[in-house]
Amino acid sequence: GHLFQVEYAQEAVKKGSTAVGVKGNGVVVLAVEKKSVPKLQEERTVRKICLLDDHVVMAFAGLTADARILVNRARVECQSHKLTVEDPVTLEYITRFIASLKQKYTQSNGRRPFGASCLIAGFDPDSTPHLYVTDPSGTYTEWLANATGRSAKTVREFLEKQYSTDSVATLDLCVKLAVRALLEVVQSGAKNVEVAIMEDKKSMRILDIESLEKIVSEIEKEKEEEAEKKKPKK
Amino acid sequence: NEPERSNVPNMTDITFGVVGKDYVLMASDTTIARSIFKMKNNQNKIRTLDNHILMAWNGPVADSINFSDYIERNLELYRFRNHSSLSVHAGAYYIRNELATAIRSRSPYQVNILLGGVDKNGPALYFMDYLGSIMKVNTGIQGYAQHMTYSLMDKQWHEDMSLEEGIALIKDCIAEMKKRFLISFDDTTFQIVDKDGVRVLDNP
Repeated sequence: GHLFQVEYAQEAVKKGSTAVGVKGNGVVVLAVEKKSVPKLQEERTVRKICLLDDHVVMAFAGLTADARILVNRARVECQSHKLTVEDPVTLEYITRFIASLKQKYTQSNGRRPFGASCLIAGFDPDSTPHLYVTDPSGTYTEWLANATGRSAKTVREFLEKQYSTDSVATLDLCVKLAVRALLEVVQSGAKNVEVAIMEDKKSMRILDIESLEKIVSEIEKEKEEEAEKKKPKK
Repeated sequence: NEPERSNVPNMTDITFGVVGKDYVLMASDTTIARSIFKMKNNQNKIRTLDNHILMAWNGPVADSINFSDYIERNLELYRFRNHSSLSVHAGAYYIRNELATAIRSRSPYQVNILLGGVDKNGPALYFMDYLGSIMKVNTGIQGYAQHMTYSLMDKQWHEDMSLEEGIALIKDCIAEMKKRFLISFDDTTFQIVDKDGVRVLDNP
């Protein structure tokens, strides 16, 4: 059978700007599409990438207002967990919490499902990296790399072809893969991409614009070289 | 049945706080007593909140720890929600509000607090008690120690004290307590907060 409200919520996610997550060697990277803002609007950074706790970061695709509620509830739960058991949450725990919350809203009267898919990334207290994805139905799954939002399918297919332990062996390679994947569907340019880097026992880092521009130009060069190789030789 | 509690938190914890030139220095004894026994000898009674605030607690361990945990977690939640920490002044008044609300409920916290921090307005020390009162002070003392060391603080404290002077002042207070206070204590811990954050002074 069909739960139309859930399917409509998933459609809302498909309309949102793209978000990509890639798990590498000792690092998890989230990259989001930065939609261009009207001229008079104040551009605010770190709008789509939200820190839930010192070791958990979340990006989403879909209705920003809905995601805001989820982020707030998750932040409270992270602290509440620490208060009761003196331990930071594991990635699975907080993902399960968010997913359970989403599921509740698919089965209560007078409510509609959350129109947001979340990419939850970080390191467990035992230093294992994780990347989880939740969707409006309340299911959650763990991934090596995934995307959500507009053209997520294209990005995922790209990642399926390109992802390997070699391609994410270092932090730089992992970041490059995430940005490259995002640039498949996003207009090329460092100003259209925002990258968050999570390393074990370190605070979340948003990649500065200079490093990002360097990576984008490297990717452009690699793309050109590949296109040259493919050209038929005279 | 609720366990029997006195209306006044135990006054035998010794905590001092002193505002210096660009720092707040706090010291406390490290003894936890249980009826006639010294149960623990190395209890840190000065909590670090949010990496830039020191909160010394006085009172029964149960309420003190419970309250400190609760405040610590709520200040962290504030930091994630608002992408920046609460200022020292705001933090002090937030804590006061929690105490004031609790005293008017069926389950008050029996904790007295000395709160110290440094932010863009300079160093600040706040004296709070379990009833929800708050006073911004230059020299703060809690418990029975107040009876024995306020006059000492009055005589020696002056504005813009250097770290050496601050340490000497608190050491004099501790010496006075060792001499005159009935309840003995062995170790004390010194902690300081300045613009670089919080740290323990190992050999003051």
